[in-house]
Amino acid sequence: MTDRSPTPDPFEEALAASLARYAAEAGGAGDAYTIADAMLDARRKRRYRIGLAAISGVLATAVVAGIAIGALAEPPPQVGPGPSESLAPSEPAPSATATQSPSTEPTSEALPGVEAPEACGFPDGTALSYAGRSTTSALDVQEVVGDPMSDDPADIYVTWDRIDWGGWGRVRLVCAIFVEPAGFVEVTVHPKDGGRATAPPEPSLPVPSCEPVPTPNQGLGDEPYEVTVAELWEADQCGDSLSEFGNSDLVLTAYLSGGFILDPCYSREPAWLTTCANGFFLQTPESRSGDDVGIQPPLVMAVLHPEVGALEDLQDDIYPGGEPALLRVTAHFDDPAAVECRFVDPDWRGPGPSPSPDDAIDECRNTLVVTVIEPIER
Amino acid sequence: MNSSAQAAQQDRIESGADLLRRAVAGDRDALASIVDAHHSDMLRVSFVVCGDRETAREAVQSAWLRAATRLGSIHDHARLRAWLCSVAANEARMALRRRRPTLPIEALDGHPAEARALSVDLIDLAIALNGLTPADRELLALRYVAGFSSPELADHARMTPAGVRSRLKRLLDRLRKELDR
Repeated sequence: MTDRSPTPDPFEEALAASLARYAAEAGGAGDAYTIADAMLDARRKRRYRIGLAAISGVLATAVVAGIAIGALAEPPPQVGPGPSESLAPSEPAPSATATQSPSTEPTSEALPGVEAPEACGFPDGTALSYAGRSTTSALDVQEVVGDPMSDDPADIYVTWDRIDWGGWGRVRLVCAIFVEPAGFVEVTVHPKDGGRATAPPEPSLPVPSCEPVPTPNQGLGDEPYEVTVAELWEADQCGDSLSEFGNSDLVLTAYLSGGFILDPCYSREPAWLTTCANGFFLQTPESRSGDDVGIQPPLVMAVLHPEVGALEDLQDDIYPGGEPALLRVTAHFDDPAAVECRFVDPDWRGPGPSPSPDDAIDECRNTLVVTVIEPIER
Repeated sequence: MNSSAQAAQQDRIESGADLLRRAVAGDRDALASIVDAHHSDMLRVSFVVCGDRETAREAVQSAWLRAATRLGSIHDHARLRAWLCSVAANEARMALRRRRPTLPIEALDGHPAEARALSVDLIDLAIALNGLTPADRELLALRYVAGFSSPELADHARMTPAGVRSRLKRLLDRLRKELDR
């Protein structure tokens, strides 16, 4: 079933063998009939629950109908057949994240007067948008309660709330209502512990192809090289930032999303090269409108070169009048100071062993250093 | 492939499809056969993800209960194993989230108590795995324990196959560094 590379990597083969032996420590098979009985019991209980849910199912359907009516008045972003349309289970379901663009996210288009079905567990009065019909396997939902790989079509509702992520932006809450052939409506929600929050959707975003692209390091010369945030993001996702851009001056147009501190943060010297303490995001112009912004890819983390000044001193340029300005940014990877980088925290609080000195240099070399910021929009 | 081999393969396909059909219909023997065939794989995947036997067992138990009501959604029996392993891996990751407070991370004592019971040559691997995120361990488990292909991994992780290969390469590089120390 595996698709190994034609030239086997001895380390990979040894790792695979060790992992197999390690995994075997999990123990032996369970009692198949005991498990089978538990499964049959679970099914019986579910049938009973279906019976009890008949009335609430009707109510939920009424809510769906209400949303459909609302949709006629003000069409929400439509990413698949509407709730009243049928979708054969064998038909490839459209992805709720495949065709939406950031500019049409439902944040500002929640249907007025339509509240989330009570069973979704959203706070009272939460407005939501119908996001189309999809399957949980096609959704970018990591913590779905139920079957994360289900091929069953479901009507998907999304809403946005500012929880857990503080000032970072809005996060998506998802409620999926399965539409089964028998008409039973099952509601699947995320856990109540805050795990409902998923990363903002990545609609219409470039999926990293990791294909080679012409870059300054491949003979395009030493002139400042015009790039996009999406290109930088893709290179970062593919681990290709250095090989593609070297230390060339890169020019891009972007919004800056304020500084942040990640915890745990393993500080580096020089301190200004520490992204987790002094970093910020550069985002595409398309990814934000006003201050109703989600931190979502494509984006790139960056730090300010000390000669530019401190982030706090640039507020008038970055947020003139409190509104984010579109910026013209010059930046580069592989800053000369990177070779002197070292970790300085006395104790590592992150997972696993503390990073090595080489890791510090590697992280610094891969850090995007901004040397010029100019507002181009007032 | 000669005709007898083709016939044998056809028999296997039909028996797999038939077994799934009977299990979906509530046949206890068929369900038990499916459990028997896949439980160990699911347990191994879960163990690599969470590094703890008890949590792995609980995760697989939850995965079977999820599977109980969702088996009917598997229209191609050839996908059954990958689907079950995916559900088990997902349950293991969720079980880890529920397990609070998290264990302190300190070399041997920090890794699941199981580490102390491992043979010496696996202890380093256990510690290295503990330094990865659950999502990374999940990727390794599905790849090297469950034998997922890149497209199957991509499907599970909602990434492109190229993205999966790139992430795996980074993981291997990191483990190579850790284990070479």
